[in-house]
Amino acid sequence: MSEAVIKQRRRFNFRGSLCMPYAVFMALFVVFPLVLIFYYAFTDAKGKFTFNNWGTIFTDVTNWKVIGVTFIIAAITTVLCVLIAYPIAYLLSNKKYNSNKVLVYIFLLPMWINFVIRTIGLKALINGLTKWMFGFDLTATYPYVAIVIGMVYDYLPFAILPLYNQMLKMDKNQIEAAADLGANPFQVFTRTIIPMTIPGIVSACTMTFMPTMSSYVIANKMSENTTKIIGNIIEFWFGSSSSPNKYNVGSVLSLVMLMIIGISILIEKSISSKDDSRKVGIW
Amino acid sequence: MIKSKHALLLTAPLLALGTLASLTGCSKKYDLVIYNWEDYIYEGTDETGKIVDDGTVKAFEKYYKEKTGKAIRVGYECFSTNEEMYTELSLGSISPDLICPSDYMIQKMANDGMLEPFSYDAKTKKYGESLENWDKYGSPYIKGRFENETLNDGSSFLTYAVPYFWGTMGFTYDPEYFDEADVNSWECLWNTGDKFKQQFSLKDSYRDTYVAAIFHVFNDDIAALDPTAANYNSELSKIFNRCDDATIEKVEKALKEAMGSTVYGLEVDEGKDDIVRGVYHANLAWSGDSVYSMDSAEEGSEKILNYSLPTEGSNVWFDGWCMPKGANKELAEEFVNYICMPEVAANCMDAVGYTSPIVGDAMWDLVNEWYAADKDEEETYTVDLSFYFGDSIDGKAEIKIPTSEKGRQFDAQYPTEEMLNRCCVMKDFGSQTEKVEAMWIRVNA
Repeated sequence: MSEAVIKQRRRFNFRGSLCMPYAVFMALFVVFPLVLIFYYAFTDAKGKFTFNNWGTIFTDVTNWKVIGVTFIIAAITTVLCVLIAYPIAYLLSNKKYNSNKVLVYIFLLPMWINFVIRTIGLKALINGLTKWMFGFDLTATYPYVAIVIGMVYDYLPFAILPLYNQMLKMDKNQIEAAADLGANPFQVFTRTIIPMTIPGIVSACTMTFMPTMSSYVIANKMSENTTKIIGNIIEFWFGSSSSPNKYNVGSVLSLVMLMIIGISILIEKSISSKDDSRKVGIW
Repeated sequence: MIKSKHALLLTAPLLALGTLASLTGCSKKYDLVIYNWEDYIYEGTDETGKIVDDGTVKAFEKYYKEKTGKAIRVGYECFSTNEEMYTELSLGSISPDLICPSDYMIQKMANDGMLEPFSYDAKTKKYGESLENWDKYGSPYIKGRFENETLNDGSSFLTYAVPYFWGTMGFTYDPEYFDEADVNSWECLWNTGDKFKQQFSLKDSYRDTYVAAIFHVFNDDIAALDPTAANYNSELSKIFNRCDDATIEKVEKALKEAMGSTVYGLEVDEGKDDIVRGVYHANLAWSGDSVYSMDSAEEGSEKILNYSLPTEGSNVWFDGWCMPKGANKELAEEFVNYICMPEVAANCMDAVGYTSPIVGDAMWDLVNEWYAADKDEEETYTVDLSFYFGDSIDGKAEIKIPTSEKGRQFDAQYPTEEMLNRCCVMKDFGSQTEKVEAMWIRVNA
């Protein structure tokens, strides 16, 4: 009798079956599109196997330049975001300044508004400011500077949140002990606070680096469409191009972007696994 | 109990999938599917967007029922770029009976054998009974223009496409900032004067911006042509449609130069509003968009904007009705014939703002209602549109326009015959497409 019940349990594993919708979802919307991208990247318009698409992308110096520029923009944005977010997160995690967490919400509030609208608003604000001060529109005259400002503005909350979460978990006793034992404020910061928040820093870096690598709407808006980053080029191939191989060449670029992001995640993994503290993310 | 729960969890996504599948299968229920640009037909709305009447599609269903006694359902879908339409069509994700691509795309699709020909007789230059409204009401000028445009197989453009709207490309500009003389030539984009610095927006679409550069690059060749010669337009077209490697290189250099000095930015859609807000003072625009900008500037901020068609010439584009292979030819022709009726075409032109190639009394009335000067207007100038309207209307096609309106909406919609003779139809880049695209990415990166 009891054996039969167990057998039945095994056959109809209820908890396991709860995963089914997710498995179907993953298969349909994650695995299948990836397989499609791979398929397109290695075939031509007629479906024949070829490496030509890779040749099209990598023999053109422009693509290398665009990938490099995108990487630099993403890197600068990431560094700026973490530098700005770090003191903010530190203050927010301190109960003295942020007793009821309202301040956290104020910093996250912009995320509730669509980022395209936010970017257009930022563009108007910045251009108005530079026009009044220097007599030119920043987005038209210095598009790269404008893009970085736009990216930092849009992705700052992604950097604040993981840092804030990590700092909430900091052991305040260690900080006090370090100060008591004669460390000056700078030493306290570099020897205790920074080591304790490394997982947060790593997480903040990936959370800003990934979306800045792949986004293109911000670059469009903040450069008056004159500066193309890798996302724009992918969009060009999938959208405006009239080439018969448009999806195939576009897929190669998508894979390149996927690889860059993948590598950056691997680097993050290797850094955070060195450190034993619990890893945090915003999900 | 457990079993049934399991089943439910499994069926939920399947159900969802099933719904998706049945949704996509819907299009088969229509007798005629039209695939058109967004906002490119009369939808039965007044200026405020309230529905006051049957739109063209609905009205056609009624018209057909009255004419033949058969009830039909017409499906209507929209695309936003030629390339999007082309991709959807070649992937087979939509199978319309009637599409409305632009000139170069019509050429490409016809050359690829993707289009079904209309019953066009190249000898009599007429469609005959199935499209008698075009024979009767098509503008003689537009007919003459497109009869002689040929495709690879030597057949006329009109074999595969019935023009629906056309327009030119020029600059919408702010006359308080720029004089007409500043912007009446493409050379203004390469003017190094301080006044011109970052004052122009170009199109973020390589085909249109290429045009601007071609007139600059071959300025001397074009000036050497004789504008009075009978073959002027075809000679100009040859220069206009150059896309060999050396030309692409020159265009690239010219565009990079302009981008570093006179160009403020690139846009596709927001420019027609940005020029009104005064972000910059000249916007490379299609005539219809320019009319939109001029209208909204007047209504919104009482600002005056003008349209300038560069004197060297420009691009004249047209969108036309085409039938993809496998279309319901009879119904598709019936619809095109219907939309070529002057009353129907006038409704569409009123709604869309581009220039219709259809003429006739209803169209003439609309043009007069829009543009003709009031009787008590003191300073007017007279424009003779008989080259365009032919003998489709009673009396002579002459219209009095207030002098203050010179260089504005009317001139944008109805350029003179002489100016139109300097405007060329753009051809598909063909095998050079990829090189032009790569050049465009280089200019932007």
